[in-house]
Amino acid sequence: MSTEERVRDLIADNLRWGGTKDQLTADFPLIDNHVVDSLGMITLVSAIEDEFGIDVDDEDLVPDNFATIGQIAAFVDSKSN
Amino acid sequence: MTDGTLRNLVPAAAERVPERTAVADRGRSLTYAELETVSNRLAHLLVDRGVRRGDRVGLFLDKSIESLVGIYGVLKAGAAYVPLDPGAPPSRLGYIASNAGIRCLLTGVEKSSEWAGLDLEAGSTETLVVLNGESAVDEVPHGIELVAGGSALDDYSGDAPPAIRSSPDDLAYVLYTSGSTGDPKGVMLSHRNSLAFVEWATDEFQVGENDRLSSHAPLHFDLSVFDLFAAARGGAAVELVPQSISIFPVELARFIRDTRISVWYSVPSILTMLVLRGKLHEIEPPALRAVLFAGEVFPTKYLHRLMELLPDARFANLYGPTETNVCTWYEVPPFVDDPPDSIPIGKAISGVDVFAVTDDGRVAVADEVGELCVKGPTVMQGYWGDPERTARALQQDASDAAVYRTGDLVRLDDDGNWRYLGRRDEQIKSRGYRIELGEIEVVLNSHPDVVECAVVAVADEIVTNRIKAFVVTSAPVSEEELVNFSLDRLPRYMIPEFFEFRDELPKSSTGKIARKALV
Repeated sequence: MSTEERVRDLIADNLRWGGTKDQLTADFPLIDNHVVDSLGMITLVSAIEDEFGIDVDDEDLVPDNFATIGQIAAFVDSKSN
Repeated sequence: MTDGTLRNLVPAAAERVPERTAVADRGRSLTYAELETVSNRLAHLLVDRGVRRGDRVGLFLDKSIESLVGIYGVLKAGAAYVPLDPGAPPSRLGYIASNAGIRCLLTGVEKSSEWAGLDLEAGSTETLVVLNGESAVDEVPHGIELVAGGSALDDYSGDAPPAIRSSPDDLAYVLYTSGSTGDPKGVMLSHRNSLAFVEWATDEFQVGENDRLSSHAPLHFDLSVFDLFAAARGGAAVELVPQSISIFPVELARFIRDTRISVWYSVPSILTMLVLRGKLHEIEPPALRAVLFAGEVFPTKYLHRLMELLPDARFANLYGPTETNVCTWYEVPPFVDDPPDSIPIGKAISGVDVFAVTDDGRVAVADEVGELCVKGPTVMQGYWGDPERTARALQQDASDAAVYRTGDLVRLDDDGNWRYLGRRDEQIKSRGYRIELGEIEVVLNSHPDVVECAVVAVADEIVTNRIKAFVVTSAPVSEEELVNFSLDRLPRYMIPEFFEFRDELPKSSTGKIARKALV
């Protein structure tokens, strides 16, 4: 499974939101569509840390890294390397 | 100058500090003079479209400058505003619209089609006013009149608000909150109720024209009452905190610094995130001079760290269910050595009377545990359209004053401060949201395959509680199915985070579900 698919699964499994998994395309805006809220961000970060074995630093928590699934996947890949 | 209503706050500020910023949102702003003019225009428009004193006007849009224009326009038209959660599912919106009898709704371009798509009784919404645009939905069903708030406002004079008779006892707003029997209940607050708190808070925290107040809480949440109305009363600016920023603690810390917010008010969990991940120690100190929090318990170890990071700021714990505005408060003194395990909810605000009643109906004496009761000008008028529930919640004392029973168990400390101990019932807090676990159970039980369920709170250090559901089903049902079923009926903060499927649930000797055995 690609990083992007794994991130999509994490979001679908861990965050409660009103839409379907099909809507969660790589460039679907997660924040504007209220997929991720402030509590959801804590949940998502710990899920990502567990799934990929990386440490997400405070400075990493910026919109550029978390606005879409594509951006999260790119961020995870850059952290893993 | 004051007429005892919220209607007068902006006109007074516009006269005193016309060029000061009233509200700012990501670079856009309105001065008090501008807010006065545009809210006068909107009030005239609303009166022209049939809005009358005492009507309930819905507010359904993402928080923005237009939301504040809408609120003041509604109040100046003599009506009460009903702020709706922009993220609420259609069934809940529909319930509130019909329960409150919302015939006129203020909305935004992005939200107007959502409202038009609700399955409302024909004719229940007569007018949709789109505040932030010229055009909106293409098709407006069943005879709803659509008003483009931008250009239509120009037809009306902004010089003065409509001449409306008003009284401090008029309804100012209705805030819907979780109800244990399955439907949300509308808490009715009058101008007098609101101003009793607002005037106290403005004086106590010396809110003035040089201040910038945060607006972090959503408008359907009663913390927003302080942000909006204390700012207007003091001639201060309200800085709307974008939701996209409050998700990222480091960005939020920079936002607070860059906007020079001087008075912050929010639930503690957002401040905890700021302490844990905001890197406050690495930026130049923000201009914060007062940090107020309410809605849930602030873990003292994080509060302590925040106080160390902001040594010059005042810190205050404000307490009160929506039904009483804020009724007690506690100014947190600097901690010497280690912080205590918890802080009290403090003493009554001025003009308000609080006391505790024991299980056998006596007024509690020192050291005794009792249910906190509140009497005074901040206590609500009742629940909209529900005289029975109102009669249960508000009891008359010997002098015929309404006493609200909070359901919160408290004890009076030796130093005269009230200390919160817990709840009498199944109500919990999560991220400051008030949640009746029973309301979630009613929804889950309405699923055709659910035989029985129990919803419990799992204690959590940062968000106070997380929600877990134990479910017995008659046929295989996935967690996803139950989540989606709930999302159609409940706001997102009420959706259980954990589901556990069981063959049966433990029962007490009387056959009730033994919730304690599940936690």
